[in-house]
Amino acid sequence: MGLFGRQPKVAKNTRLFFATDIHGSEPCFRKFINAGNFYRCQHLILGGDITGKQIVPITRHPDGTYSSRLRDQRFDTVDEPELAEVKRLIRVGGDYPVVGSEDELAELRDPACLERRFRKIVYDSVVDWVTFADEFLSGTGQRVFVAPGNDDFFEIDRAFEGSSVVEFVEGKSLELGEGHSMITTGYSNPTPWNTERELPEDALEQRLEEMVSHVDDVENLVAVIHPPPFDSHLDYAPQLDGDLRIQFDGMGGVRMTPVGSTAVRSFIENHQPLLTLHGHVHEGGGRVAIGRTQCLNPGSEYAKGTLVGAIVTIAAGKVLSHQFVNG
Amino acid sequence: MSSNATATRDALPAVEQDRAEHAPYVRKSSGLVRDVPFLDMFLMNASSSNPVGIAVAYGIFFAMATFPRCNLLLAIVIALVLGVFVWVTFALVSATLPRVGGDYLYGSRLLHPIIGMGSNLATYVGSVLAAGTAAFFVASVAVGPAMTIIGVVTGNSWWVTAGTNVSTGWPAFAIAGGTLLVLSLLSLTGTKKVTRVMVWLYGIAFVAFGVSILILLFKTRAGFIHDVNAYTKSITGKGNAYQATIAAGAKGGLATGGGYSFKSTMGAVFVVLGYTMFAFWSSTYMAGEMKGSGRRSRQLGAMVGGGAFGGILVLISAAIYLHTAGYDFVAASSNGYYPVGVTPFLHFFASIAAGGGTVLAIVLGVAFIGWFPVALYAGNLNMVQRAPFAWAFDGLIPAKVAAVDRRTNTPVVSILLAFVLGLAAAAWACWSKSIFSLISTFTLLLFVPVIVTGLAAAVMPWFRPDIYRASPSDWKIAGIPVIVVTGLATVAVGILAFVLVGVFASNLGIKHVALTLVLPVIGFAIAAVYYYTARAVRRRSGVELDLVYKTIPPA
Repeated sequence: MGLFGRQPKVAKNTRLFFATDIHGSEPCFRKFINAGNFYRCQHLILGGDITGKQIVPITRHPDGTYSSRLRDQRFDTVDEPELAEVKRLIRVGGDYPVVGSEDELAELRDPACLERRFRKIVYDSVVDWVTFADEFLSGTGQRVFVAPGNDDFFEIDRAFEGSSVVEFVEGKSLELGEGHSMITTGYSNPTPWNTERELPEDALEQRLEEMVSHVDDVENLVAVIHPPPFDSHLDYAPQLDGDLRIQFDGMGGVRMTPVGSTAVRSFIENHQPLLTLHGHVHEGGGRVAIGRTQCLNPGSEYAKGTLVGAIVTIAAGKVLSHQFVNG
Repeated sequence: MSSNATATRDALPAVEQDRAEHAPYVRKSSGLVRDVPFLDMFLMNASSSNPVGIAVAYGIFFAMATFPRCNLLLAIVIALVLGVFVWVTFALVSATLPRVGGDYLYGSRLLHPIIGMGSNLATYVGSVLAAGTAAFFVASVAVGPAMTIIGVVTGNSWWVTAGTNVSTGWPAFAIAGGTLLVLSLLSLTGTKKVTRVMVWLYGIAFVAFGVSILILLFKTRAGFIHDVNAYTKSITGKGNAYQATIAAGAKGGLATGGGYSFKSTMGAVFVVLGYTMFAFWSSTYMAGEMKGSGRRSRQLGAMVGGGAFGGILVLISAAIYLHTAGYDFVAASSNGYYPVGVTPFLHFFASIAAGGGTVLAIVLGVAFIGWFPVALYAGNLNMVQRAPFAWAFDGLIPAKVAAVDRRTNTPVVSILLAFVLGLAAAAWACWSKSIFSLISTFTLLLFVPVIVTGLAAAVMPWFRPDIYRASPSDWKIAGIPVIVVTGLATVAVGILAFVLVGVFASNLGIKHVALTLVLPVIGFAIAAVYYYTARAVRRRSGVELDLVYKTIPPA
């Protein structure tokens, strides 16, 4: 292999585009759907944590104007035509706008009401995305694989039912073509936030073992596993104290610590698949090799509507190239 | 397991109490951390790349030596005002693109990859030269003068002679190389250890510096003159060193009887900018690791506040030093008219003014050494070690250059490369005929990313409206986009630096003026050749480098 990883050309190869952790960002999803055309990839893989985290209230005032605040931006006396733009900006960062009078929005302060509202909004948004993907990609021959992440409600799984384009692949083993197969899971090892899809390390290892047991040729296996392998540099995140505050080393240094999965690491070390694709740790973008396995985490910049991804070209038994992109 | 949405607004990162009406509702999900305390971000900026002791002691010495009739305090005020535009611009841009990579990221994403590369090449080379110079200064400005101070206060001439000998040539190179080696080895063992060492050195040096300034603050001019004369007599045998130094300086044309020179003051602005403006350095490179760095108010507070804090400390310290020691004496000593060579003098005079406390004088002299490894590592070497990460991530350089060692979690190749280049730069500094020329050259190179980032900021609303509209940079005052105004002002500050170097080349010891000024152009040309070569090479393995920088149109 040369300095830049040059490889001889092969006749048959597969070009994948992998993105992850878009956390509800509307432009990120629309860019993802267009990535096959733009990057000339056969398969699109969305690796989990696809739904947003926040509801941003937009207050409707008696005089017919609206007001809202989105991080540093303040929107006052917004009229009806401007409202669409405010909603669009909220959706850029993956948040969900909810419009209502002060009284209507006050209902969200009730945790049970908020919980119901959140689940419905998230589900509806995923249904909208699936519908959009079906319309846009129908007949193109591109395959779109979507897995959930630890942050995604279980309810979204059924939003993919009946789609002609998008394949929901959580826990499945399937053929990618050209002799490659793929297994996928969005479950993570435990996090400080105790999120929806977490498993203890031993249970996560069992889940991975169960999936790989259906694979004939592990040498050509692509494993999409939301959490990166432990202590792989793809999993370095700021260290937190018990109060979820970031820890510092002093002199400008955020104390980073590995937060990946030991189960994922031992799975990779034991089975040595061709390629593993990860997300979960937004700060952990990069590539490492564990034995023969190439492990990639493109990271995430969803909050600005930037789709970070990896274009990966694979052939029989080898990863020909990879490239990180910020679209 | 159920994921319960939460309405506990006061526990959420994006919410402050005064914003309660419009506070977002956040569900339980990973990554929601509490904000980095503002004080931490502030202190990070105020400390990490702004060793205030060097800014005061060496900055004053440098400014007075090159622009003897400058109004130093006015120069500092002008530099601070100019710095505010730069800090605001960097705060807004780094809040918009909160990722590791600094000016490379801003230039490549907002303008063109070659501009990003050219800018970062200037930053890289400038930081390498600055690291080498700082390593040389460990010998010539820190260890050497500290030994001289020990010799002076103990009356031992061996220390004085040794202090002079270690400040130049091979002994200086040995100390510089040794310092680089130790810091590089520490870096190889992991970030935690080297950071811990830096924190201790910074703390010790800062306390000693504070003591020096307090000593000068509470010393009268008459008392200062008495102490200087008394101490210097023990070395030279003459009891009027203070007056003799001023008289010699006046004969050399340094007297301010005719008032300050505005032209010289503007020249000094360049020097002061170099020592006070780069407070944003750390945040822009660390932004990717910093939760909350994507918020405008926090970045503004940390960068502008941190920069201004350091700058105001410099201003106050300089005012105290000039008030107690007297402008003419500071100017004359900075220009070599004081008989003992203890550059940059401030901590030496402070130790003398301590009233004959031998131990205190030695402590102040030795503690001053602490600033230089901090300036070397935290201000420069660290950037040189980290820059390849962003290049490798984009595929511009072989991934092996930025590869991280599995055991120590450190980029071995990058650290070794930084060491070798730093050593070469230290050799240049050790045998340079004009150290001011070298300092001016790398300072000028570090203004290239200032100009590029200013330009990227100013055009962002039109070049990258997709990024601008969704970012904290979309901030208007009286309908005027702030980032456009500060971006243009930042470009102007950068261009001003180039103009000042051109006008004052002889003061700064720069012989090859045209070459110095076109260095950035050469850098951009190298970046262009490299980029297109790398693109061609990578295309042969199926990688299209251009795609890294292109935005996908949403479906």
